[in-house]
Amino acid sequence: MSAPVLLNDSELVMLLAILRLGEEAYGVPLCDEIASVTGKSAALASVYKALERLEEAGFVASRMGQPSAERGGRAKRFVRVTDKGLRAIDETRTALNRLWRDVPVFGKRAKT
Amino acid sequence: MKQDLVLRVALWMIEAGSSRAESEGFAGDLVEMFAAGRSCWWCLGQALHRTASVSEQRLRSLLMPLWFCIGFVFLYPLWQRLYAPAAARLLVQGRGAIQWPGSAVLEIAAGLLPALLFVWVGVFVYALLRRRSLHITPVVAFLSLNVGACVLFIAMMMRLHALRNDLRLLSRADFYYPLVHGRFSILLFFSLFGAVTVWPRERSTIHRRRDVVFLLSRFGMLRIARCLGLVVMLVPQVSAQAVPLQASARIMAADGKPMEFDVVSVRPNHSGAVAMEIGSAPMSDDLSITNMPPENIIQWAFRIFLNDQIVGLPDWATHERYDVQAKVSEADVAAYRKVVDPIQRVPMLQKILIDRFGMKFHFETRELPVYALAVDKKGMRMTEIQPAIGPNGMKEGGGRQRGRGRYTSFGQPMQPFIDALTVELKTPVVDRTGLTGFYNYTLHWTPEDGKPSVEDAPSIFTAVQEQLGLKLERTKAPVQVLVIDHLERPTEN
Repeated sequence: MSAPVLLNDSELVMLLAILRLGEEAYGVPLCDEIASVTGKSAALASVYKALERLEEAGFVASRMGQPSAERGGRAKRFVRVTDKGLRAIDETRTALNRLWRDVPVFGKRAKT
Repeated sequence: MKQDLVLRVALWMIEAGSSRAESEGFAGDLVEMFAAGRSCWWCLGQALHRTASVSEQRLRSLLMPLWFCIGFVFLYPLWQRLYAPAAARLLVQGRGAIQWPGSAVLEIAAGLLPALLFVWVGVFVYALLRRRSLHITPVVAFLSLNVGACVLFIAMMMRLHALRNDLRLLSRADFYYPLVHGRFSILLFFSLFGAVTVWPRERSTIHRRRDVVFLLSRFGMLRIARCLGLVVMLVPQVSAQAVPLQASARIMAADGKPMEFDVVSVRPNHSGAVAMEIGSAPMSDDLSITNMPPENIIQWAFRIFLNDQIVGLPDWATHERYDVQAKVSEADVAAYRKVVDPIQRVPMLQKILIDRFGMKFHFETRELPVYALAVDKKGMRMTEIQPAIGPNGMKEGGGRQRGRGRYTSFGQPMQPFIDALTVELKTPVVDRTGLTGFYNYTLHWTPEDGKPSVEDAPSIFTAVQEQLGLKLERTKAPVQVLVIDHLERPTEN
């Protein structure tokens, strides 16, 4: 049995954002999604760099869409999470949940 | 308008920096974000960020081949231990058996072949190491192998150009010892690096898990690797045995055979005199040696100036002296006089030793310390002249004067000076100057064991640098050693 894969925070954020967007995940909405959820703006170049790294690791796969006029005749590059990526997300969640299990809620303790 | 221009620059940067498939999605996203209200400068910033990221990725992908090539080039001395002796024997035997320019071509082949095979083996090792991530096809494999060959060939042509296209000036030092001679290390490195970086693109992630043996067998790579391995194993053997050991003349006689002296007279000299002589008068048909021990005759015959390079001489050969008179036949006089390169007469002298002294010999290559003579950074300071034309219509080699701590050249080429330095330093000197002209100069130095001809003269190393604009560098190189297997007192005339 292979060791569980633990994703780092930026990888996890990117994969979760792709999962949230579903079939419509590509550069622009990914930037917006990450910015809206995390509250931090995401640079398009950084998003692409992270996507390439994830694709190289086999966690995501990409396909080109149809060219459109509003993009200057350029196609969208859609991405989706692969089975390997899904397993990695699951294993990371399990590991993080185990870590959180016995950690008290600091806000409540402060009140008491 | 200005915004359009900045956006165009940003898009051009992205599209020029990577392939269409890689850049299309990002460029389209940038156009979309610009239309959604992002500023043109934000787009330019993203394009710069993206370009830097792609460049970094590409440089990072070159790191692996870079370190591999550096490491592999360091293995070349080990490789040479397999090849250098065989290649050296091939050269020595070929020099005697093959006429110039064939002998020079042989020199190039014997020098390049080990290097070429080394590069090819390097390419295969690299391919096996990166078998999971490289995409191999027979065509690309063939091209990659030949990139190394082309780089070596082009470099050799450049070297020849530096030597004014005179093949005779090529020496084995131009091919061997990359760790000592930086130029050849760099050449080997670039050959290998070129070969492994034109190797096909990285395999896509999906196909990475394929079995390398399946791939290799599918594309016939195993067969190619096996054949190459066989060649690598056989070449040293073939090159060692291909040319039989013999010493034949390079000057061709009127009958088309290698020229030999027609009449040879060898007599012991019991005069007790110290002085000895060797030479032939201009436009003569003979060679005269007076009061010379066989040891010195052998040195002349094989152009060896150091006793260290001759092994196995019997004691009598170092002190018993002989006179030798040799003449070519009437039919060969014209060809004998036309000889441009005195080295071409050397095999004729070797023939006297073989016939009259019963000499049997072979060569061995040993790694010995040498001095490399090269042009100093500040440039050569000798005066180049146009040499006089001799009675045979050829350029004359001028003259020289030697004394204690003094050497004067009157329009001589470099070789006599190299020989003189070899004797003075008691160490072989390799000519790496690339100077092919005729020069006037005077050199004064303080000999190690004597009084100089000029007061306060510097050491020979400083003198060569300051007075001639050349430099002597201590290094190591494979040096041929003549091993005498048999030598007997000469037979009666």
